[in-house]
Amino acid sequence: MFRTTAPVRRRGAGHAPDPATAVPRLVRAAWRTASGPGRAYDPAEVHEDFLQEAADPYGVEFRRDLFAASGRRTSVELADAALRGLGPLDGDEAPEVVVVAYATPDFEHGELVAAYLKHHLPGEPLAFAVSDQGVLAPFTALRVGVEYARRGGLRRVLLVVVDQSSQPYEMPSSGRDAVAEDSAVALLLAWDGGQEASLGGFGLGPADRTAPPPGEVVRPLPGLPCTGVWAALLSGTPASGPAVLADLDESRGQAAYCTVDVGEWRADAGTR
Amino acid sequence: MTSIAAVSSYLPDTVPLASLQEQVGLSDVQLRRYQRFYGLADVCRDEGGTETDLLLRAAAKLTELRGQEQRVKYVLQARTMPSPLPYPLTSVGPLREELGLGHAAGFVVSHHACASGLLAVDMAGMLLAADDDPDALALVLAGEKACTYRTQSIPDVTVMGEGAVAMLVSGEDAGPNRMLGYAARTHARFHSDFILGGDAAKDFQAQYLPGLCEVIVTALDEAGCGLDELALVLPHNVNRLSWMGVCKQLGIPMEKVFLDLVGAAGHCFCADPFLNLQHAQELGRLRPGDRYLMTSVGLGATFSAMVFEH
Repeated sequence: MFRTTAPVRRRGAGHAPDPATAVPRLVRAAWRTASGPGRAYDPAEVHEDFLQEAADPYGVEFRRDLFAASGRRTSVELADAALRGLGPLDGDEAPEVVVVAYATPDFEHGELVAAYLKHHLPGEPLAFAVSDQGVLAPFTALRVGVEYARRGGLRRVLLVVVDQSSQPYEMPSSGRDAVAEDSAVALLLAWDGGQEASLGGFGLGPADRTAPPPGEVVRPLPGLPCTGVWAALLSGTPASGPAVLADLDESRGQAAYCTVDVGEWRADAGTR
Repeated sequence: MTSIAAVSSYLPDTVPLASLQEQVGLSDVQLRRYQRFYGLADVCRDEGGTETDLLLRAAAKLTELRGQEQRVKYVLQARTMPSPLPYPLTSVGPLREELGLGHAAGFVVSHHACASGLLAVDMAGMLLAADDDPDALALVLAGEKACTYRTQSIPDVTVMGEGAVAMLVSGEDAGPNRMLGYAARTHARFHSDFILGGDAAKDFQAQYLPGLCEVIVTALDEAGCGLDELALVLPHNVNRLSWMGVCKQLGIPMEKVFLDLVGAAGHCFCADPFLNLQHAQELGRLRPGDRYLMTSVGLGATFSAMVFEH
């Protein structure tokens, strides 16, 4: 069970600024993709009336042709594949906070990814999701996950980021909102900063005032709204030390960057 | 510290539950049970409004927001349903623009289903407490549409309403409602679907009373508050009957549970305890120094409780 008192402010309001910062360590990571046709489409099982009813107020048309031709893998299936890519998480490696991030909903299935992950992990992690922030949702997920760890004296955070390409409505065909394939990333992060250090190397805000520090920056792969920046990190040349990742949401006029220590992360031995 | 500095609510016009009988799929026996034992009578519905409209109407009544827009650093929308809007549409985007909050980071908090509201308040306070600016605020919103067959009721439990709330949350001890303790537990074996059937439904029914009592007792323990110190309980408005069991189990007098909106609004997703806060304040049911409890239960299944001091 998650239990807490109200958080205590440690900085500002007459207190000396706290100079101590830390960045999370990437301990394990896995990226899985899927494309092509999935299960057969049966209108009787798909609740087409719900899909049309949900879209009507927004003047959007249900597109059976697009939906039937899509993979229709569940977001739980995508998240599960990425989680399995991490290998067994026992004892000291089990996450204490689990944050799911996505921009693309799973319209067909009522299963909650965060609850599913909690059910398949040891221990009693606090598990929830953040979304509806376009490509920046995984940055918020990292910030919130680390803040819960910091506040509770916890050490391990699991981020699971999902891009769901099966949508029952017409999707953007270009730009950062376009989804080329199903994709999910699982990231096991260690927070060594304890309760005193602040999250360093992080920013999220108006694009004209939010720039990553000078130096090499990992930018997203196209066609993967939320997993793209992590996919770029995991598919690139293995780095050591801190890696800075950044993304830009032009439609919201906002940008974000984060820093993770990738010096010790264990490469995923599985295939995409 | 986390405090709710201001709260506003929007309750659309109501329709009699009986008029929704066919739409919801209630038999005559079920309808009578809902009315006589569950305490459900009228349900608030905004026929023409979208989710975004509901939230905007609640925020428009939040007069404390006017002139304070630049202090708002976060906009958190608590949501039960993980997928109500066609991608890439969101409510958060238009809300930020309409309310002059384009500078703020906005996102949805979910997967605790109807308990996501309490999580969003806790999260907002946590983010603000970690930042440098003690004057910063978060706008927390909740309220959803019950416009589809699958989202307008929880069978044999309740009927959904479309009430919405908007709150300003501070990371300081700056508001009239100071958070003291919070407990949440997700019983993840119920993850498979929102609407449970068969043995899973029976299992959830058996879990309901101990699960809710557990988080209530734990949140009170975190708050350093005894059950007998509670002046008021601001519950989720699923039905009256379920509260009779909780009150009997914990020894809470029923008159301390604010159930006015069960029969006047229906179960408004994540918004219930905050709708109750706004109405309880308006009715003078909270006095300075009163300690009170909020509760929520989300399918999936998360039980949550939060203790405040007024």
